[in-house]
Formats: sequence, structure tokens, C-alpha cells
Amino acid sequence: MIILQELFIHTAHAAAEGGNSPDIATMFGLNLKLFIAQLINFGIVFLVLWKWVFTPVTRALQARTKKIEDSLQAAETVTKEKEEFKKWKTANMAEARKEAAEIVEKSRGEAEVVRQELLAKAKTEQEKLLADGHTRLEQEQAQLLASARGQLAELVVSATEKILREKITDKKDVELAKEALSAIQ
Amino acid sequence: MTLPPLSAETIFYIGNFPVTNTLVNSALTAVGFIIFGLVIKLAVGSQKNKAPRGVLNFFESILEVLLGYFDRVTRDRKKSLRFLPLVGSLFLFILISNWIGLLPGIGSIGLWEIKEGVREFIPLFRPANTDLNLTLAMAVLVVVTSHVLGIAAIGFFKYANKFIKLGDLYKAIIHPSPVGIMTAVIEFFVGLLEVVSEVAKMVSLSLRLFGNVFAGEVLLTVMASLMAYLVPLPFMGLELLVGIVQATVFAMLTLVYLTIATTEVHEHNSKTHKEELDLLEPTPTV
Repeated sequence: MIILQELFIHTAHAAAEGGNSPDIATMFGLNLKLFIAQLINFGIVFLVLWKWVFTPVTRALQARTKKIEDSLQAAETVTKEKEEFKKWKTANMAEARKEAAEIVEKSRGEAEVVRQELLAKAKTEQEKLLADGHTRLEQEQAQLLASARGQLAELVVSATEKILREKITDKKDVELAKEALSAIQ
Repeated sequence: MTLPPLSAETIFYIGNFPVTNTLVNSALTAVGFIIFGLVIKLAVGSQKNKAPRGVLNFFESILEVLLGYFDRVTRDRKKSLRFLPLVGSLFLFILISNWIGLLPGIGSIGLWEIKEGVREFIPLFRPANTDLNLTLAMAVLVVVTSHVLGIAAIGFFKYANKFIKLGDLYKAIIHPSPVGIMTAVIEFFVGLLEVVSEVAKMVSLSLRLFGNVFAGEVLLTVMASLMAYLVPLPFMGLELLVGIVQATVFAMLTLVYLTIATTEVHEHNSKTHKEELDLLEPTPTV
């Protein structure tokens, strides 16, 4: 209560001072020198904050915002290009696959034709070789037979000569004939 | 208990210049801001092209919030950025000055002096905004800046026509119509009232801040006198809130003044006479 009373007295005193004196400026301690000094104080704060704080920070903020926007735009462009490339790739890959399949099919056909030709050629040559072989074999066989016949004739002749030169008995004759025949065989 | 007087107490003189305890506080606050400014400047320089960290990151977040509020008033980011140095400085300076006033030692460390035979306690530090010199200096600066920026934005004659509407009066005389002349005369006197309102702006801005912070100081003194411990705590919390509210109010009003001053007023004479008559006619009711 005492404190509140003192507060009221203080306020009333201040009001009374104001009432008696029209100089409100003195009551509030208004002073041109102090006014200017306080203005300078705030001015210093204003200049410091303006030049060292707000300007560089807002500039950095704007630069960062621009960088982020540019990056986002670039990312969007890249995504769009990727999508386009994907579409292009899908379309072209299908075409390329189709073309490749056609080429493979065509090659397969051509290869088959070549294979068939080669087979036919090989068969022909084989047959020809076989025929040649047969012919040569027959000729050789004929030659051999002819030669054998010649040799047999010579042998018969020589055996006959031999028989005729020696004294021929029945027993000897049979032996000679057997000998000649074994020689032939 | 010694209640703080309305005027700041003089601690010493430099020549015939009185150094008051509020001036000491505002000077200390200014020094603090210089250090803070240097820290931020160095941080911006060192963290160029990097993600912001530490104090810079914290300050950037505060700045983003401030700019968001500014945009709501100006509705234009360019204008917000243009007004940021003044309005932001006012907000931060008032806020920090108010909060510094709650630190231990402010208002309690001082000297006992004998004045007119009475022993008086003179605190060495007192919240800067409990000095009308400072609040008035800021208010005057705000109003003068709003006029300067207004003239720069819309031109001297158009700006002057906001207050002394001779242009409208001249146009009404050139194209005479009873309603037009009457409107122009009324607007001429409204314009004169606008001149008075400019003075009122300074008075209201300065006295509101001074009154609130001074009242808070008195309240805390009274509460601390009732009981030194615990009792003043809720009131100190309240003063923290008052500090931010007053800083916001001062800054936002400044922003409103600056926005209004730099916005061009649409001329009434652009309306046709018929439109004016339509406006004056009562709306038919069913």
C-alpha cells in the first residue's frame, strides 16, 4: 500500500509539475543535443545494419534463390530430355529390333541357299569322285586280271616245258600239275 | 523505493553535453550492433557459395520471417527489400534495446547523489527507449524518410497534392459542378488534416514506445520493491513480450507509413460526374 501510495504521489507530482509549467519538454527531458546524439546513435546502427548486414545477406539470399531456381529449372530440363530420350530410345529400339530380325531372317535364308548349293556341289563332286574311283578300280582290276592271265599262261608254258624236259611219270605228272595249280593259286 | 523519473538522468558532462544513462545504453546497443554487423559481414564473406551455418543461418531465418511479414503489408517483395534496412534496423534496435533493459544491473547499478539536499539514486544504465529523445528521434526520422521516399516514388507535385489538394480544387473549378466543387473543398480541408496527422504520427509513435517501455520499467521497479525474488519474474516475462510487441508495432507502423507514402493516390476526378452522382444517391432498398 505504501508503495502504491508513493507511486500515486510520484505521478501526481509529475502531473503537477507539468501543470504548473507549460514546458512539457523539460518534464520529459527533451533536449536538442540529446535528441541529435540519440539520432546519431540510431543512425550508426542503421548504417551498420544496412551496409554490413541487410545488403550482403539479402544479396546472398537472392543469389541462392536464383541458384536454386536455376538448378530446379536445369533439373526439369534434364528430366524432360531424359523422358524424350527414353521415348526416342523406345521407338528406335523397337524399329532397330525389327530391322535386326529382318536382317537375321534374310541372312538365314541366304545362308540356307548357300548351304544347299554347297551340299549339292559337294554331293556332285562326291559322286563324281566315287564314279572315278569305280572306273579306276575296274580298270586296275581288268589290268590285274589281264596281267594274272599273262602270268598264268607263262607259268603253264614254263610248267609244260619243265614237264616235257623231265621224264614224266604218272606220279610226276600229277605232282607237277598240283605244283602248277598251287602256284597259280 | 525510487521510481524512475520521466526524464533520463544525467551521469556526467562532456563539456556542456549531458551524458544520460539512456544514452549510455543506446551507445552500448550501437556498439553491440557494430560487433554483430562485423560478424555477419565476415560470415557472409567466408560462406560465399556455401550453405549458411551458425549465426548467419540464424539471422537469415529471422530475415526471412521479417520479409514475410513485410510482404503482407507492402504486397511487393521489391518494396519490402527497399524498406528493409530502415524498418529492420528499427525493429532490431528497439527489440534489443528493450531486452537489454531487462538484464541485471540495468537500473540497479548506479551512484547515490545528493540533489537539493535529498539523497538520490542515479542508475548508470537505463533502457534506451525510456528516453523520449530517442523515441522521438526515431519517429521524426521515420516520418521524414516516408516523405522523402514518397516524393522520390511519385513526384513532388503528386505527393504534395496528398496534403494540399489545390490540384483537385483547380480541376473542380475548371469543370464546375456543385458536387465536384463541394468534394474538392472538403478534400482540401481533409488534406490540411493530413498535415496535422503527420505530426500526430510522430507524437503517437514516440509516446507509444516511450510510454510502454517506461511503464514496464516502473512496473518492474514496483514489483521488485514488493518482493525481490520470484515475484518480478512473471512481469519480466511480460516485459520480454512487451519488448517484442512494441518493436513490432513501431516497425509495422513505419512500414505502413512508407508503403502509403510511396503509393500513388487515384484521383477522384478520374470518375465521371455521373459516377459521382451515383455514389451520392442512396441505395434503393427492397
